[in-house]
Parts: sequence; structure tokens; C-alpha cells
Amino acid sequence: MIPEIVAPGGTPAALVAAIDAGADTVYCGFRDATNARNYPGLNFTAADLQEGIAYAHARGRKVNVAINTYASAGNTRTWYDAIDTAAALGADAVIMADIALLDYTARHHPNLRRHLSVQAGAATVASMEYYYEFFGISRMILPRMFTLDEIAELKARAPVEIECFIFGSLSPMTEGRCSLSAYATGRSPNLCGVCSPAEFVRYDTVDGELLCRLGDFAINAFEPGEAAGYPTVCKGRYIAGDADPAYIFEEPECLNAAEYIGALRRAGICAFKIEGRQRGRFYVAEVVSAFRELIDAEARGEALTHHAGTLERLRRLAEGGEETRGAYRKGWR
Amino acid sequence: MLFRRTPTALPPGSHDLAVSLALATLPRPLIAGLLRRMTRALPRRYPKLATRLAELEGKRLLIAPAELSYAFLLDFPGGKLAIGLLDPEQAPATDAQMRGPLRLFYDLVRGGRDGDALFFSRELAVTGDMAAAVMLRNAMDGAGVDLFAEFLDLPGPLGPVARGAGALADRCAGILLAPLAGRTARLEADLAALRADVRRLKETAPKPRPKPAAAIAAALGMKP
Repeated sequence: MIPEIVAPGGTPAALVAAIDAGADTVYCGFRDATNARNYPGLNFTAADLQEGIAYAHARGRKVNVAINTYASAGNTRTWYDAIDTAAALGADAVIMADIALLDYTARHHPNLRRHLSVQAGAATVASMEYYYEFFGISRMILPRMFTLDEIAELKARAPVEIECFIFGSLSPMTEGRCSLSAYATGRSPNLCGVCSPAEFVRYDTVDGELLCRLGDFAINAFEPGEAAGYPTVCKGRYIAGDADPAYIFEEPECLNAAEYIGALRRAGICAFKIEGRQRGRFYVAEVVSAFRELIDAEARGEALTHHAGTLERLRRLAEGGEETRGAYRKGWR
Repeated sequence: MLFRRTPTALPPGSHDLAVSLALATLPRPLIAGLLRRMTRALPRRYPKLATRLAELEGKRLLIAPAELSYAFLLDFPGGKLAIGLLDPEQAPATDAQMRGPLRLFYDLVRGGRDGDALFFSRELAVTGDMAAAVMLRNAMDGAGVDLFAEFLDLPGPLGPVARGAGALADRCAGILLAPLAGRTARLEADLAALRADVRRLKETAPKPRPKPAAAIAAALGMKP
């Protein structure tokens, strides 16, 4: 079986671009804190989602709705309303991390597929079984912390479908538990749906260098001509003591696991997820069409070395202009 | 010879020449008039755009293409986009400023290149209120608005002026650039293969660890 491509749809135009480029499924969210990409100008109204689902379904594709932040205490109604709306509009699945939301969906919309978000940080067979037995999840999206061997072992014992990331920005391997953005700005992806919010970001040229700040913190400085990055706290270059500035947490690299398409398919992965709802429709179309080509080529038994031009197209879209294989091959062990 | 029609049509991307020529050569009042007509038509053509732009009400953004003698001042009264022209040296205070080559803005506006990648590569410079800049990009990109196509497709007596300039530019470009395009494509393919080789070499080499801070080293009993 050829794994499906699950593509980001940050906006209605990106959803259309993803479908047209060959995505099997698009995931998107509402214009509020219920989803983990709550950035200015992004996301869908109910009317946008209705049109998007109609566009996808008319072409035999699917739309999954991410409601993957944690509901705030005393205000679960906003999150429940998002689930009800997604169900009423005919979404193919909802992607969630919060057990309250999983429970609500299982009780009120038992026929709506429930996918466990990477934000749940479920990293053991025991945790997978828990979410399956208590909330009836159909699929889990793997946290970006496993090697290829570990994924194959997990899949052999998992009672559910497994989706994994194939391309896009990386976060520290503590998904759903990272508080760096909350520390720097008071807002976090887990509760507010936004990491390193744009309203706290400032870029200034100081002594010829591009200095980028997030709130009160200097996150990085780039020399003229050096590839820059967004000031996500975990990807800052810091001076620890008297050491040289270094990327202490994460380097600003982009996951590209194209070379593992075959290994992941053989391990039983059912879907490849592309990160990037905050990116534009050009990015979505480029990445989806590239992976459509690579995944179909791999399924035909072709070597990816025959697709150097396509791999180069992907590299040009990488954050910071650099790629990594992430945890799939843990060279540091 | 120079004005002979090219045997094959240029790809749609070459319309940037049409827009560049129109913007660089037409009198400024004429461009301002064209922009007013275009922005007035946007709400009818993209009814959902106003909802997305409404959050920008009260913000002013400056777009300064390097090759032009003027810059664009964008504001959003009632969620409607308004574009004015001004001298970049005498620009009023704005919330966010974007600077770069005209070609880049053309690609960005019509969804032909990725804004984040342009910014990361330093081709596009953005200063000031990043949330306003991100919101504008997301609103325009999300509604699928191609402002340059709107500019070239204007109805009425002014549209043909821009389109005429564009058609001439396309023909000239076909003659001048077509041979170069083939060579560039070959060079890009060679470069891609070289980059892949370098990447493979880099991946096989061990990564240097960052130097530990002296304090941490001392605490751990490590020698600096």
C-alpha cells in the first residue's frame, strides 16, 4: 500500500494548492486557539472549511481538522464547539491531544475518526494502548523522536494506524510539553496555539548584523549573507558562559526524510505528514508535488538518486537552508 | 529582428517583465490611478479578503522595491486594501517595512515563491511589526489574490496600456532570454548534483560539538 500524503492547509488557498498538487489528505484548523498554528491571518472560518471539504471530497480526498491544543480551564466550550463544527461539516477526522476533547468526541461523535496529535507526546506502546482503549483513536501521529528501527517495533505492537512526519520544521523532542515560548512571551503552542508569536518578533540591523529578538530576548544574530531564521526560542544561538555562540537546543534545520520513504513504508507507516501550515501556498504546492513524485517513484521501485532535481527543490524550501534526517537516524548516539 | 514574435510562448512567470516595465515607465499618476481602480475591484472579486484584512485596520505597511523610484504605502480602511505611492526617502512612519528586488515582490504576490524561504535567504528584508507583515502575507496568500494579474487584467481604457507594455516586454524577453534559460537550467541541474554530493560528504563526517561553557565545564570537573 502506498502511504497517503497528509499536507498542511494553513489557508483555503493552500488547501486547494495541496489537493491540486496531489495530496491525499489536507489538515487544517479554525481561526482561534483550538489549533496549534494560531498565527495572524491564517486558518479557516466554518464557511471556509465547508468549501474546503467540498473541494477535497469532490476529488476523492480528505480533510482532517486539527483541534490539537489543550482546552483552557473553565473554557472548554470553544474547543467542544470546534469539534461539533468539524463533525457537522463532514470532516474526515479530528486531530487532538487533550483527553477531555478525545472523550467528548468519543461520546458525542463516535463515528468521527479520532487521530492522536503529536502534541500528546505519546511515546510508548502503553500510552498508545491507553488512548486506543479509552478514546478509540484510529491513528496516532508519531512524535519526532524515534529511530527507524524503533518505529518498526512500535508499529508491530501498535493497535492503530501510524502517521509520521516526512518534511518540515522540527521542534524539540518534547512535543506538547515545551514551555520555552511561554517563558519568553507568555504564550505557548500547547495552550494558545502559537509558538514564538509574531507580535513579539523584531528584526533590526545592528553593526551590519541582522539581530532578531523575541520579546526581551535576543535570539540570534546573522552576518550579512548568512541564511536567517525565525526567532523560535529553541532554535536560537546563545552564548553560554564564555563559550562561542552556539545552537544549544536545536539548529534551524528542516526535517527531510525523503530517503527513508521506503524504510518507513515497509515499517507499516500509513501516512506521511508534511509540516507547515504557517507557510504559503507556493511552499505547500512545491513540497506536496515533490513528495508525490518521490513516493510514487519509490512504490514503482525507482531509486531516489534519479530524482536529484526534486530533492534540490525541497532543499531550497528548508528553514535556514539546511536539512536534517532528525531522529530517524540518531547520529549522536 | 528584435521585434519579431518568438516562435514559442514564454511561461507565465515572464509577466514580471510586463509589470516591471509598466511600473518603471508609466507616469506615477497613471500608476496611482490603475492601483486605485484595482483595489476598488478587489472586494467584489475576493469577497472573503476583507474578513482577513480587517485585523490590519489602523496599520500602515511600506513596500519598497529596490528598482523603483517610489514605494507603495498600504493601509486597510474598513478591511479594504488601499495602495498609495510615495517617495521612499519621505515615507511617513509605518508599522512594517518590506524591501527587496521588484522581481521578488512579483513572485511573492502571485504565489510563485515562498515568502519564508525568501526571508530566510535574506533576499527579502522585513523590519518593524512582524505580526502585521505576516498577517498581510497570510491574508493575500490565503485568499489566492494575484495583485499583478489584477493589475494587468484591469478593464476599461487603462488596462490595455499595461497589457501593451507587457506584450512588448514578453516578445523582447523571448528573444533575449530564451537561449540563456536553457543554459541556466543545465547549470542548475549540475549544481543540484554537486550539492547532493557535498551533503553526502558532510553527513558522513562527524559533527563538532559546541564548546561547553567554562562554568559548566568546571562544575562537571572537565578540563577547559
